[in-house]
Amino acid sequence: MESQTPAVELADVSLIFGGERPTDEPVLAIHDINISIPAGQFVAVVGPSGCGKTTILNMLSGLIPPTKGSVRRHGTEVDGPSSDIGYMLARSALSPWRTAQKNVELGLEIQGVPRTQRAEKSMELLRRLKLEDFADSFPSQLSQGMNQRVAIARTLALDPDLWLMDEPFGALDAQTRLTVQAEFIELWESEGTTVIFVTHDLEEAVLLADRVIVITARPGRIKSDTIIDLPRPRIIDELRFDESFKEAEHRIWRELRDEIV
Amino acid sequence: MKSSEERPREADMADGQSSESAPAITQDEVRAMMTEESIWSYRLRKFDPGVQLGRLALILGFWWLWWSETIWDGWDSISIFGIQPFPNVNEVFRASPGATWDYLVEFLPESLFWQDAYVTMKEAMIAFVIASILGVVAGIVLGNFRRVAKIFGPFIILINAMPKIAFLPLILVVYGVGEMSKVVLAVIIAFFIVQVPTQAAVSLVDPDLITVARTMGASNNQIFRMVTIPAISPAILGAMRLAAIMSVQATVFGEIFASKRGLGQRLITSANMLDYNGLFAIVFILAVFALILNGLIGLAEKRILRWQVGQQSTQVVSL
Repeated sequence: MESQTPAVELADVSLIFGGERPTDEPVLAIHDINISIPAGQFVAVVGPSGCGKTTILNMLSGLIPPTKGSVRRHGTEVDGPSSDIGYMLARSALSPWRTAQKNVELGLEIQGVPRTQRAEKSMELLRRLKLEDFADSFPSQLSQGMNQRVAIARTLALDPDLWLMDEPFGALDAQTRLTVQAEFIELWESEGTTVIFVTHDLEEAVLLADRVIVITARPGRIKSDTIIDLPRPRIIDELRFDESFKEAEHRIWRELRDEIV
Repeated sequence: MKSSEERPREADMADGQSSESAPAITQDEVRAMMTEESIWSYRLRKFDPGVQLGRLALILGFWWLWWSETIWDGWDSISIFGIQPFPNVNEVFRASPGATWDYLVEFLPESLFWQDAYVTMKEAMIAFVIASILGVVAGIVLGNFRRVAKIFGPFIILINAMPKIAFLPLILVVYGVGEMSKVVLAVIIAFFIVQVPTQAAVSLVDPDLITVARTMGASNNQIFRMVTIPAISPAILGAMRLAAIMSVQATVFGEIFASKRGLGQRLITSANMLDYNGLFAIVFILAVFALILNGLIGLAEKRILRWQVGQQSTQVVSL
């Protein structure tokens, strides 16, 4: 692992917001972050709100360039959005005028995939997320949890080799979240893609991830970087009550607490 | 219009998807659980007698006010801060339903009448189409390009603030008393009705939708086609409904002011001859025309905005 080029690498990355006008006070959002992620790792990024977690994803996805330092994927500099990266936003952000299936097909349509292939791919994903009966429903007809699953399917439709997820389950109620998390982790365990998963929910981070990175309050720096060596496949609704899980969560909680309190 | 109570959100039925161990329930069994309702009872409920009676009462009440001539006098005792909202109307100026009907019956078969109607509707339609196209294009350009909006914005706001009807004398001098001057007036008025909401809608497109498309590698062109256009279509259609009615209004006003042909011309001639039955009859015809236009756009809305299931916020009026 050590000798391979990492799938994702942030080297001495800093990011400054604002300060365009001389009278504007520039804000240092991210300060000298170094992260190196091998292919296939599920990394959760936690931290207090406003610490720049989403900003890190925006830089990785190529939406905004870092002020200083470099963001690399497989050794090459990220210089703009790419369809190899699946970016799932905090809100499901589905097009209300598209049916569930057409929403899943958005990326395929953008990439010019022919209609029949699009339909095949989207149906397969909907089936995997147990949504095949709702292919023709509009987002306004579906529950939040279902819409979030549609958004997952849309993110995966282009077979990205890096999944960036920004609090994807944050808006769901506790029960629905557990269901969607379980489905998601099952999906991921069968794919083994590199995932960077931003969340403010430490339990979720430890349940899902191989590695949890805690970011400090602004300016965002790395507070701790912990490997979670719980076995896979994980049955998360059981794992929640497991001693090994609780211990791991507690260890990281002590780090995080300093930042929140 | 589908109301929420007749169609439960599918989500409510679907979330309990983990009940794999329970025996499957057939659709017939589900039906059996519901309270039975005959098709006639359902139709009656949809017909909503309360609403229909209310409408009927309004029509009859108005009809009685007019027919009995109660509408013209007997209300002058009402005075609010010294202002009489319903003064008595001199008998010379009164119109009656019967005479209005007679006017319609007399003139409807006449080809000259229809020539006038054709002129007015042609002017209004041309103006409506031109104003809609210009308004949508201008709204999109100004909404999409911040710098263009910065250049033109102040001038558009200034022109929009002017009472456009005040330009009519000037328009008549430039374009003559023919059809062109009415079209120009109606375009100037209807343009802003479309342009302003279109521009606002473009700037209100959910930025998350744009971000999602962008991360999937969409070009600006694709974002425009796949996000902006569908997102602003409800606002455009709503604005076009208003623009259609305003086009008719502006055209008629232009014709009343000065024209060779048209229903507005006919209307002012009737009024000048103290023939208020003719005035009412023409207003009625114009209202029918505006309603037809409104209804056509409503049909387009239904087709294009099929995705707004259960959302009625954009439906202004539907009969």
